Amino acid sequence: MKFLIGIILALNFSIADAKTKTLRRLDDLEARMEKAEQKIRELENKSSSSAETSGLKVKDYQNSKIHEKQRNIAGDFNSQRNQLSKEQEKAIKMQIEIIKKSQTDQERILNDIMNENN
Amino acid sequence: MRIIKFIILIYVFSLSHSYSFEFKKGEGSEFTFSTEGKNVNLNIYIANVDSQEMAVEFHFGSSEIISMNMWQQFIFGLKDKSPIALKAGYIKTGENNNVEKMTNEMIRVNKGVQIEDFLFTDKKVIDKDFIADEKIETPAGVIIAKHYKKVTMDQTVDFWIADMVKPIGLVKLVSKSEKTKTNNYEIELKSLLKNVDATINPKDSKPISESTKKLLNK
Repeated sequence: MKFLIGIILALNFSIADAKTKTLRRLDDLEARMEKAEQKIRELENKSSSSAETSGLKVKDYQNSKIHEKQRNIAGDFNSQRNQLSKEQEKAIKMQIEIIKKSQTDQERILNDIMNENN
Repeated sequence: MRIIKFIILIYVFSLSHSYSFEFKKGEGSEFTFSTEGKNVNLNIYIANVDSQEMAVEFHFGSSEIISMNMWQQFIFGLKDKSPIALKAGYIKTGENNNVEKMTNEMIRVNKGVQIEDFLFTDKKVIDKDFIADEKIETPAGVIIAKHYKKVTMDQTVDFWIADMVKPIGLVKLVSKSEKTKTNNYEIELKSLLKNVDATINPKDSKPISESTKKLLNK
């Protein structure tokens, strides 16, 4: 019986450790996503040459046409956003799979223990 | 189309109340235009100016999945730096890449608030629509603006104008109507613009096509 409790504790500990690691990785991903979003905002502002004058936002088009500038801004923004979201999406999917697997393992082990006790 | 005309009216009104303002080519305002749950970017800027005429260009654009772009340019006759008449109008759409000249009928007919309401009315009459000086928060910043309310049979329009956002002057506009769906919209200042190059060159214009007429009548 002591041996069984020991195994359960060891398993729970390893599952909790795996969960902590996964959560840490998720936090890390979130922080990276935040950084990427910040970078996009900075690029967007840089592209449109925004500046604060007399407290009001001003966009300098530097003698270019509205559409050309907007297309460039949209293009830059979309390409970065798409590229980043694909990477992030893949990483998040992997993390979700790990969590799912860990939950399934935990359930299986608990069922085994219950059956063994019965 | 009616919305653009209304903005022109406010613009003209705003200009007619400023006597010493120097118009600079390429300066203007960027707005967020919201109607029926959709947001569109609206840019208005001075396309050209000389001692007798001034061209003002409007750009409607959306950079969503399906991009949409439309430009309109209107020519005002000037006298002592104040607009005295709307002389011509041009349009360029994303579908048809040509610059097309609008007919006189198209630029003069207005079913909403009339141009006479602003341009040719006695100042005392228009001052009756003045509500108060108010502090307005916009994405461009906080602005102290003059609040006016214009009421017609089917449309109530609240608008705020301020000298500090010249040459366009418009800070915010809220139009409401119970009967006419298209008269429910909101315009809010997003940023001021400078050094914008005009997209429409009136010298390249052709007579307006039937498809563009249909688009404007929608």
